[in-house]
Amino acid sequence: MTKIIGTSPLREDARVKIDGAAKYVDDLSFPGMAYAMLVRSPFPHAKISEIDASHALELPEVVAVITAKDIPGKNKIPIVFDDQPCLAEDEARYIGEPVAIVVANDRRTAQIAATLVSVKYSELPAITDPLLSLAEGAEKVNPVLGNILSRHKVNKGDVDSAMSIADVVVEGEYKTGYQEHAYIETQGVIAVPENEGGIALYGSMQCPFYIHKALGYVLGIPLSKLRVIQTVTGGAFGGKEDFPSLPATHAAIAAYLTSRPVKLVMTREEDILCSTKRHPGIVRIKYGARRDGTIIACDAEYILNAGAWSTLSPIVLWRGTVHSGGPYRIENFRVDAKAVATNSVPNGAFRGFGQPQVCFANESLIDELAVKLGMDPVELRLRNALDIGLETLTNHVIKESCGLKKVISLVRDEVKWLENRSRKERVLSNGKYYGVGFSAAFYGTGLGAGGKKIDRSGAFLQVAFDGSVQIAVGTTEMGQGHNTVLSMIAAEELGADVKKVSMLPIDTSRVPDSGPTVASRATMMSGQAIRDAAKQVRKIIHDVVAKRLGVAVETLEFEPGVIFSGAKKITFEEAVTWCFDERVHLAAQGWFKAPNTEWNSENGLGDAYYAYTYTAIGAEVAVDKETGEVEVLRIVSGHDIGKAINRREVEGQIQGGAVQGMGYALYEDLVSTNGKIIRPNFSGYIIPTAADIPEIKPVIVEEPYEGGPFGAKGLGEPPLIAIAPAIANAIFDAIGVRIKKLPMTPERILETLEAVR
Amino acid sequence: MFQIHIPAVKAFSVKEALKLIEENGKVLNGGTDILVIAKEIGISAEKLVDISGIEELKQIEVSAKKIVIGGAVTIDEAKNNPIIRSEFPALVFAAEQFASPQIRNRATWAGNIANASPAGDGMTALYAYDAVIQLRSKNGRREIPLTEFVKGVRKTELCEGEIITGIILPRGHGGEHFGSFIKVGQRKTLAISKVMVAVSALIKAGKIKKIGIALGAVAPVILRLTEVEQFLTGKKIDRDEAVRAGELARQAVKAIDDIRSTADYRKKVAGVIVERAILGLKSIE
Amino acid sequence: MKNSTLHLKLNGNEKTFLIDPADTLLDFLRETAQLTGTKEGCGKGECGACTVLLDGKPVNSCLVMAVQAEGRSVTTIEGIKSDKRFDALRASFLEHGASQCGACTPGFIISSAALLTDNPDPTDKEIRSALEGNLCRCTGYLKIFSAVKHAAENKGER
Repeated sequence: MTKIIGTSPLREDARVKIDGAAKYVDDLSFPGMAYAMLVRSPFPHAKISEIDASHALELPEVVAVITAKDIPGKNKIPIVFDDQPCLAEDEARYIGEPVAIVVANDRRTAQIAATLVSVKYSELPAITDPLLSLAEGAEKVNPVLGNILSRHKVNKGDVDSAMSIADVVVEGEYKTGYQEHAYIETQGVIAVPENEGGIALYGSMQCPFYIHKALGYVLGIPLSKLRVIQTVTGGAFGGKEDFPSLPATHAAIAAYLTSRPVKLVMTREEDILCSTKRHPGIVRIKYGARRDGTIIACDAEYILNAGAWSTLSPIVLWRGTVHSGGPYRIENFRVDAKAVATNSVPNGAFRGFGQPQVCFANESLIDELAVKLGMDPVELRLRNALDIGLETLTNHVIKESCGLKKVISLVRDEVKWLENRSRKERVLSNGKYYGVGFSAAFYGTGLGAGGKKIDRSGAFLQVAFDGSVQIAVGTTEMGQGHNTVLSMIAAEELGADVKKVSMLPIDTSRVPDSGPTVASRATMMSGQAIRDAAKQVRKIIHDVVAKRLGVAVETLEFEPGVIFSGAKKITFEEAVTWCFDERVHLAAQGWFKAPNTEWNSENGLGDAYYAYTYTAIGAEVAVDKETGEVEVLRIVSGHDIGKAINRREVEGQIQGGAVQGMGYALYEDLVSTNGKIIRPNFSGYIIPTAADIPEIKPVIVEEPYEGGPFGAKGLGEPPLIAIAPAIANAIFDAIGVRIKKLPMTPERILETLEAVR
Repeated sequence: MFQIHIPAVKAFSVKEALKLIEENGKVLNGGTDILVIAKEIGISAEKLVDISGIEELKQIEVSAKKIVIGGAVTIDEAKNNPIIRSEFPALVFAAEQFASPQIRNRATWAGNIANASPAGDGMTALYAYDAVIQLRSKNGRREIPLTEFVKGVRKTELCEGEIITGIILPRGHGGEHFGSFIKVGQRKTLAISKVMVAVSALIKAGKIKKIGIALGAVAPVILRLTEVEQFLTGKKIDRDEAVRAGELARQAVKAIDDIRSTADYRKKVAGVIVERAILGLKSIE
Repeated sequence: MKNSTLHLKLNGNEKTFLIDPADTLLDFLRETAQLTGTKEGCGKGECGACTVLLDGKPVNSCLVMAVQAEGRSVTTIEGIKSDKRFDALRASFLEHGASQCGACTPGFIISSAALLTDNPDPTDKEIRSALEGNLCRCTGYLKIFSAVKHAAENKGER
């Protein structure tokens, strides 16, 4: 029986945040610090023939203007394919692409000087539509990889024959727009030259070891001379996974060449214009089913607009691909997926990672199938839902921890599905139309077969003389509660008081590489690595205690803060004192390697992941048929996460994800014409505010997963993924029209209503 | 030259402000528009002249026939004035939906006019009340109706060296004051409107004695729907009349496409919210 | 260029600073007064991260020029922290999980403090209205609402 796991200890990191005392990167400065500002391409595609910095250099406060030819190492950013340059050299391939770095003594001069660098561009034809990029004879957008940056296929069974014998076939095309992360703290870094000739890079980030590698590339110096220090990170959501490598290399090159600390903090405009976003998607999908509701075939095509460079697109695409038919057992499944290059800002990681696009499509189409079958949509989901002993879309047979049916049933009850769905009176007192909608999803936690090589985590744990515990891991706190959850895991496993556990600040020279903080994997992976270390240290302590107490070590029991054997009882602190007396080393390295996955890349079949989080969403809406406005009244968000380590933080993830998903569904419309983002600010890009928030009811299901710490699976991303289709299905229930494009703006809703009239 | 970083200087009287403006200065009032413009595209001036603390501009003066909102009165300050609450309810409703609490504490009614955005919430409400603008320069004072003052998107009759010292609102007598304000944005708050309507009405014995209907964010300038006003004058408010008014409004509107919405949507929804605004006319207790 | 003086009451203390008259109040607070608890989220008055109290009222310090604070009272998160009246509010944010990444948190605390000062017993609707000008991307807002609600309820007891 756990004592700490499942409770809700307070977040220690929040104290300083609430007091305004937490130091984010822009709150730091170093003696002699200079400021960098980027010169960026104003064209989606242009040849660069000359860069003249003379006017900028005339300003007395300007320190340097740096271009591609000044880069000491490789002009490449390592992510997956190493196709993206650090600074554009001969050609610029998207609006906002970095062309030169201006360094000045103060922020304002840097800003002004950046406008004085004169770059001679000759504009070239640009392709900003992914379908045009795919057309035969299209100009090559990405010079390294061509126009299809990545392609994945899954081919299971005989989809064509199954479709031909299906009693009912439904199909549709669904489109989704960009989504901007809109973390409140913009991207920022400070590069500081070190005495030994290396660089220390401070910054807001998710994945310090990605940046570490990138610095080695561009500076051409050994990684051992470089260290990356994460500062308090003001939100990330995937946006600080791959992207920060770019500003980090810019600042590092500037610091290296000028021998001064260099700060580079982006303005909001700059951030929206040129940081990665969620890929716009096009999904064409078709289901074939028997009269009784059994889905026998799914055929899908998935296209992502990747932007000019490949970033993480191959993996984003892969995750979307293997989840594209939904959390159902379907015997015949085929998908063809492409990440396509365009002359627009490169897209990258964003909470959900390729799944929200396909989930909007497949879960909308499930409801259309239900209509055609004359079946209740929740019944239809339950009939086809994954369960123990059944296989996923890619033929992964689920052997444990599958709470899908349970979570669907609980959410159905919590949203009063049967009662609300069959409401006779649909017009509310304010004249709006009521509707309730449902969706379900599954989410392979961790990197799975797509990122097998880095799906491991290291941890270091040591106990100090006073019984306090210090942990080092390389996964990061970015607001999600990482440090609190991992401290709880350490305390539980070690038998220490959770208040006495601290997480070492992230510095790549001091913490192990625990892999990236992505894919909802940190609790699972670092949690297991910490348990490994904690168990070792506990054994060392217990051996000493058993000897001193004169009892067999097997008789020892423990709870946080105490160790006892029968009536004999000592505190954890006393035990630690004994250990120091005995001169034992109270520290250990922990390691965890994700389970192996069997994957066949030929047919796209195998164990895509080792475990899945299962989701069901119920959404209630009120639609104004005359203005097209949608008000979300209530969201019930259910997830089988194996084990809720910290309930309050689990709720925080569920509610935050729901609101981000609601923004994606209804408001967040990043308008881009010919590769140019229009109004890159928070008055053009609308995210939900306090006035828009419905009641959000978390439903937590705990079907333990043996491979996770105390049974836990990942949770970071699932709360966002299936919100949009639940709202779309609720809108259909309310007003009888199906919106097939995100965001579902009032304009789109009125247009669709008009079209059916 | 356009500057992004411009020094500001505080003026303590209108006279001082006028002098400072003459020395290549631009008026800085609540700052919620001009500082955004300065940061985005820069401003061609040597300095910003802060008039927001000038005592004589912070007043709301009431006389028998009119009320004058001083040039530095904030959105929030006017909202709390008892005469404005009882006689100009649409201003209060607009103020309550204006941007955010932080902006309402800085933005001024005069600044909303000087900015001349057709999506200005405050200005749309002022249109519904036949507002007249008081202007002052070193050459003297003048007054000009708001509808004539605004020429287009961010274009006004304001001359070099001139500042808005006040907004005159004629007080209507012989009836009860009703108002309404409805805006449609991408989200509920802090969003620039796709379309909005402000209605002022003087009602006597259940009949509309005088009505002002202003439609914002649909066209390059805010529109006064005079045909609809004429139609409604002398009538009782009921559903049929409101529906008819909405239809008239829809027919009267020439809407525009922009990033925030489409002309088609605006036209349709303008009719809907005019109808609702008329049915929703209310006073403030 | 720092060639102008600014007198103001900053977090309760009368102070004089040499400032750059082209600085916004936010620039001044962060760079000259070294009070970095006030955050810049957008620089355009759209996110509320830089909210401070100007004569007791919440404003976006990115849209106020420093010289406009002449002779006035400015309260930042650092001032709230040392004001016992708001201990319950800060404790409530912690207890309710109202802060995740924390970048928006000082702004929310300031807006909440202004609300509770004017209106010690706000309704749910009043809490939402008071926080309309502050964007949060992590929490989904609900835990922030609860934190403010409970701070108001517990005020008398502490």
